[in-house]
Amino acid sequence: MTQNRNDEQPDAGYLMNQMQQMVDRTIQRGKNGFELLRSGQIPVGQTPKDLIYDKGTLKLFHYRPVADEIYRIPLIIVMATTNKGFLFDLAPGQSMVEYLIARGFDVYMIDWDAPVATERNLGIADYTHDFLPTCIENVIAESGEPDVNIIGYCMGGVLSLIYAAAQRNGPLKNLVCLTTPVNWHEMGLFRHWANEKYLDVDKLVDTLGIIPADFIANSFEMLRPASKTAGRLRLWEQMWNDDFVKSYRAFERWGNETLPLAGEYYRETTKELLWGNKLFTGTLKVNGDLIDLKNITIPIMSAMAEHDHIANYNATKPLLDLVGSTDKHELVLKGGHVSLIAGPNAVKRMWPNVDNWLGVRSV
Amino acid sequence: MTNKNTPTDPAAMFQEWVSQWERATDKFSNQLMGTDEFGKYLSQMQNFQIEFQKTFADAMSRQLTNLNMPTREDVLSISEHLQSLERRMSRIESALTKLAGTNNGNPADSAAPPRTKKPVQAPDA
Repeated sequence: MTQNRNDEQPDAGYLMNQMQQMVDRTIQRGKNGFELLRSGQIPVGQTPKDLIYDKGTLKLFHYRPVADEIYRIPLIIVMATTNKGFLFDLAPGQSMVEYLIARGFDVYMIDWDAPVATERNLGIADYTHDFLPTCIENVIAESGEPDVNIIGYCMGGVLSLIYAAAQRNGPLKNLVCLTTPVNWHEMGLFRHWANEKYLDVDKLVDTLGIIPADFIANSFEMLRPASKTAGRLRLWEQMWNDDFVKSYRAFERWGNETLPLAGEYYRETTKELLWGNKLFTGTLKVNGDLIDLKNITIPIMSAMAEHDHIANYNATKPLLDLVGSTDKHELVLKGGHVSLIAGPNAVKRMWPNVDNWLGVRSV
Repeated sequence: MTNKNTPTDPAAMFQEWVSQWERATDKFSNQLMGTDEFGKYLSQMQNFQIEFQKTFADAMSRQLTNLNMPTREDVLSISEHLQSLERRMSRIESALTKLAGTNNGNPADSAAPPRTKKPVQAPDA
């Protein structure tokens, strides 16, 4: 292809190529745009799995192994409570779960459904002292192994940290935290919006019971108000690109399926973590247990994104300084809160890094 | 093939423009919303919305009861009951499948692979 330099005019051949490309893309854009309007929801979470335990909002899935032999220690992914776990299994080729099971991990996932009215009183302790231990017991029974490893994403990482700090000498052998906020006083705009002086969280929770999904989704969107429009403009421009369209639609579906939260859980998260910053200061009490992250002595890996707009870099960065572990590994990647899990950088760097770090600790 | 370094590439110019617009808009919005005053305004709006929602829901609930029709709470309650039954069915189905020794007839599930895999890399990777 003819190169254009600043000191030269583009030649006719180059311009013809450009014109041809524009025409081709316009045709493809129209075709894909029509397909987009015509089609329903894009399928997600297609890796075969079995539901092995459920209790209200909680779902425990087991992904069917595909490797000839698998690692001894089963791996549990703990999804954030605000979103569906198919972020880890968006589409074939864009699925961390698919990658991990192909690499020989025996993968389970703790996923969440929208809590219903009767679950409004679920608090942090229900998640860390009931749901997580029960799921771990189920995985132990299912796999026949006494140990487990955990990957926790965002609030799933926070819940896993609380569990790990409370359950010393338990079955948890290795912990991977992905974009997990620990210093909640660095949570940026959330701190302003949920200002203790103005937000009446008790009134909010007592009135609504369940915090609606729209409320949660809007607060995420307000962090980057231009993102949605910019995303649609990019979609229009890239409409000729089948892979881009599929990926966009999967991410869009994931964003649209934000989950509501149990009121009590929201109240405790706001008061204890966001206002009190008690996980960071080692003063958090859950179910009578003082949660000091220094109590965590198992090998731990923390992966975070430099441009994370939800769990800010400064909120996630201190994790490894707070734990008592000596075997610690940090991974800082460019990208954001979501692309860390399913973006191009995840495929190239995050997944192989987790595979390498966890693989040697899973025998 | 697109040459992204080419100044006459309209696609690259458009992408660059979108990125710049997004960055500028987000920066401006974050400055505007990253203040205590905005937090105060937001909280006031939320309070108003909650009050309105509650008052409206209570009034609607009273009207539906007077008309001898189910309220949203009633429908949700039935839905929860149905979900609970579905879960019980699912557990029974799962238990029966395990008893039968197969899982939906899928041969991949009948024999789990051995847990003997060894990593390729050294522990200090």
